[in-house]
Amino acid sequence: MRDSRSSGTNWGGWVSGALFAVLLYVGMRPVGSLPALGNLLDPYRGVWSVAGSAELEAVSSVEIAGVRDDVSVIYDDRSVPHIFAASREDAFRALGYVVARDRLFQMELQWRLTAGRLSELFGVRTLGLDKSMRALWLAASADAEYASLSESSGDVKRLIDAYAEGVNAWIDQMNLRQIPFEYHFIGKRPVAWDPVYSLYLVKQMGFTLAGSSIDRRWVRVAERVGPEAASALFPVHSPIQEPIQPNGASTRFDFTPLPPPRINSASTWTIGEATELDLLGLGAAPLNHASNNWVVAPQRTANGYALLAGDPHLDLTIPSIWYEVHVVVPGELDVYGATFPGAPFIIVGFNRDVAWSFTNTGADVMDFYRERLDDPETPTSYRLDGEWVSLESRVEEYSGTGQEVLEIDTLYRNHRGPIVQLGDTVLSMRWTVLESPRTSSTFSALGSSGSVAEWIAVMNEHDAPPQNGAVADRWGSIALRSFGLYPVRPDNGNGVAIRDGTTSDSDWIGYWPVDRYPGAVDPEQGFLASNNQEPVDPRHDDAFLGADWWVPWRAIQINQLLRSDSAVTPDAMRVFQTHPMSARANLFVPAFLNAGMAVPTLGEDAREALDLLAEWDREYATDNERAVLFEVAMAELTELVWDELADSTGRRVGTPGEAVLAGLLEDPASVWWDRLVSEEIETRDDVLVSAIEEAYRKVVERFGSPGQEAWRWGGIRHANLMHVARFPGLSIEGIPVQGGRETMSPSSGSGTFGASWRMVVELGPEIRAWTIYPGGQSGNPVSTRYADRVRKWSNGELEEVIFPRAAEEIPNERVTATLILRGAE
Amino acid sequence: MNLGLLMRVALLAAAFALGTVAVGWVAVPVIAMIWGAWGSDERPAVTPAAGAAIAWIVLMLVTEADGSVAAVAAATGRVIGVHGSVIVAVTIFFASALAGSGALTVKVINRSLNRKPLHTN
Repeated sequence: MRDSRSSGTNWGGWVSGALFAVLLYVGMRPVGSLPALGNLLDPYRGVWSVAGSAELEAVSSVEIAGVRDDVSVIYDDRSVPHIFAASREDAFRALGYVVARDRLFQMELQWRLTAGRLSELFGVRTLGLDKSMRALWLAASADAEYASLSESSGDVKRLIDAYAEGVNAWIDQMNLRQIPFEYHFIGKRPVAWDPVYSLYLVKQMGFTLAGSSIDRRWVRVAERVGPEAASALFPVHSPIQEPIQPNGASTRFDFTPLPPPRINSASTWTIGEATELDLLGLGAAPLNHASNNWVVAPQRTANGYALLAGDPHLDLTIPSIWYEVHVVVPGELDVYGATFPGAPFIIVGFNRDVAWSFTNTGADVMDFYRERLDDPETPTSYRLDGEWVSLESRVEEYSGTGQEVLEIDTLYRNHRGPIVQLGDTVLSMRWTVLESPRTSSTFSALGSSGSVAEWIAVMNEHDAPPQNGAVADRWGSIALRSFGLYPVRPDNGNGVAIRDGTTSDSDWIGYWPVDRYPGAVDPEQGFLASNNQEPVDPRHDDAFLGADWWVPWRAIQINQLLRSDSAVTPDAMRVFQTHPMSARANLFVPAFLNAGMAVPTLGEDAREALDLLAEWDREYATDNERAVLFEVAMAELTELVWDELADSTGRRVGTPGEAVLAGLLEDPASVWWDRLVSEEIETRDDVLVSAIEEAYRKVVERFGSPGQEAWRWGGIRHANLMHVARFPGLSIEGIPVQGGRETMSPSSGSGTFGASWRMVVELGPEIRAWTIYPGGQSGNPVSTRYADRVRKWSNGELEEVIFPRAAEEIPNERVTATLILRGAE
Repeated sequence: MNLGLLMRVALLAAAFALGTVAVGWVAVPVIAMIWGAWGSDERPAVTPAAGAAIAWIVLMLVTEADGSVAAVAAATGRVIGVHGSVIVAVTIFFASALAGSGALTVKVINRSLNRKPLHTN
């Protein structure tokens, strides 16, 4: 820069002054989406410093208050920490420490999500989400549960507290270089971990897995086509039966003709369109998350040992929702598996005797009631059995990034649960997740089970979210059972309709007794599988458990595979987890082909499309060039068939499951096939041909003529691992995967949902296990351990785990880091 | 470039580096302004600009000994939407321009203040 002292007007001074002011401003203040550059770019304590904490120190030790005996943590070459401690408290203290070391930002993000306090990190843009989450009263429920833990389950409270001490020890001792990457962009620092945050995660899990209800969809559809048709479109029992509890049949079809729609174009009750329900979080309620698990008895395995496989299908995030760990307390605990960062439990895993995995049951554990308040503006009580009963209220204050108050509102709750007002309509919500004090103690106890029977005894205490637990033990026993609180409703027991809240006669009258839980132990067929299907055939038990069940496509597929293999190997289990065959295609493709033969005059496109479909092996391998045509055809078919369910804007208010669509194939002249917009009367075959014809045109338009590489499934369908805070550039997108809609490893929609963890366990004299999950153990995007498992996961590979009894059993060449935790004076 | 200038750049680089480690990035404008106010530098902008750039490059090289600076640059670049090398360049430019403009601004203000009595009399 030139010194311009000789100039009459000191331009150099003005320019440098202006530049200095601008640099100071952008150094101190965020501009647009850019964070304050000073702290971000500081080479010592800014984002550059995370390079120093990307990898684990080879040998390190730390003193932590509360640690009674030294704890050894040995990281193997898969970055899995093996924790060897003398007591459970020390072990879980160490677990909190090591998980926080790798996943601290994710942990804070998750508890803040449940607590509705994300706006303190991200400002007003997450205020809506915060309000939705607080309206669910999840955190309040967790707070109450934690307060009651000391009386009901002191052991669990001690472990949760010890875990929190470990997390806080990491936070307190963390140096500047160990502050996670993301904090540098939001200009924040990690806050202390409260023990109750672990329970927030448990509640969040409940929201994820049991946070949707059929009620609202049913009401919307009933508005359009009448309640009788709505009930048939969202049936209480699945029209295709392949239950978890063996029913003695391979697949049972139970189709009944659909009643005709009674179209109501002038709905008077607009509950289905109300945005306030969205404020409850229900509008954005997660999909029913799917999963697979199955167990094979020794008589059907090649090695003569029981086998278990599990792959929970959840959000695909990076870092992963899972963290792999091994915890050893000699004589007490020796458990390996996947934990949620922030929760001191191994959720899915195995010990020396037992292995287990879960799928979501999908039971209806959330009901709505129409309430009457004394004053809609500032209510204090609600009507119940002719009396005014006081409402519980809670004032919620929402803070921004600078702790400024963004908004204050008041939430209400009655004896059933949270209240939401929709103009003149007031609803309350009852949900087992808000009444589930035993979840933490159940998961805490699972790792100590010594047999299938013991494991089932523990799980019988489980309350929410409802789960299908598959379990196998070293003595050859296998079992699968649907656990959780299943409400018993009055009258017909149906939980679909919205009930009258002004009478306690509408309330739940209890829960299913444990001995009625669907499931089986050591069945004659020698295997059991669950894939989110209706757990029990209504011919065995027709009590209401839920509605609109997942179509059992994956169940049909895995049961076929298991029936046809009487000498299953661990590697076969692995192959089954990503098997590309589609039971759904096996049912619908013949329908398309038969329709093509039945329709007298086919257009050129329809003929070409049907020829291509006939060539398809009905597999979703990455190099398959026919699956895309079928997928688009199914989307077209859905659009054409359910046109009666479109509202005035053309948007479908609900989409029946494909089992109902499959049933409709049996009724070729049903009025549902006829399209509202056309003069002619269409039948099944007309609509099927129209769907495949239109699909062909769309696929050609988008991907070119058949035979082009663009038709390959691997180039069309991808898995997308989205960064937990959706930071641009930190997600890993476009991963080609084998699998399609409702294949064993399903891939559909945005690709942000899928097999979040895969595990196969062989329960021989020495346990052998193989695992994988998409992502890596570290949450640091700079680390080599951030995404080191992605390639193998996308290929359907598994990695064999090390499962040592003692630290010395880990081969030296497989040790990558050692950490010793010692008690502080 | 004479030895005196080199010495001044080295001295400033050390000050910027130590200041950054001790109190953070704000040490850069503060030290630069002090230099501008009291230094008798013929190049009041260039010397601190060079010193700050060297200081932050050295600190980044020290970080490189612990882990990959390139990986940080790449990840940061992905978040912001630029190539990682831009992040490196912006970091060095930020320190350098902050120091240079800060020192020069103070120098100019200082001189203006010193000349004022002559104009008013």
